[in-house]
Amino acid sequence: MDVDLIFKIAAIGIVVAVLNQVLSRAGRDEQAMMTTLAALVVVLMMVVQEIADLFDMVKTLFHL
Amino acid sequence: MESMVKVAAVAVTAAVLGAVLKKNTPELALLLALAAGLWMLAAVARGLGAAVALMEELTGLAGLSEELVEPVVKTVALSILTKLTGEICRSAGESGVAAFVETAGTVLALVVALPLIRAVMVLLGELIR
Repeated sequence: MDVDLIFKIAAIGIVVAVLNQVLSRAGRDEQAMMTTLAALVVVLMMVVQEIADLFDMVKTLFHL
Repeated sequence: MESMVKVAAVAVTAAVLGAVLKKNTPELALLLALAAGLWMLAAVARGLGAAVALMEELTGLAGLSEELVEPVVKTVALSILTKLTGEICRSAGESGVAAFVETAGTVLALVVALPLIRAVMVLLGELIR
């Protein structure tokens, strides 16, 4: 696992926040909402992989 | 020492980035905290493995069977996962879910320890007889 993941998540968050603001100002609130949701799903996919790795790690460490 | 410096750097970075994200996208801030926590745990995994290895070595020296030590190791793993999950839920503002996770973890730890308790009972029975 890399530290890059943390920066990646932060970058996605900042980009999404900016997009959200722009879309909200343009009166496209539903698209802003969809952008946030899409970003959430993308980041969740990235983190879920790491959670699976953690579970595997705990299993191998404790010989479960 | 080196890994602690690394962990500290990642933790501070994650805290700062989380504070940035919290204003506009709180859900991503939560995932960021989760990712940082997982990274820190992965960074110290080797130390934990060394501790487990030492414990197994001591078990071999003392002539104890594997079944006796297994519940202890399992309980440690369970408590790590329970604590981690509970705190993540709590920082998401879901203390209720965190409480349920903790209760479930306690129940599972109890289930894991049951054979040990039974072994003690059998031993006591044999001693009395």
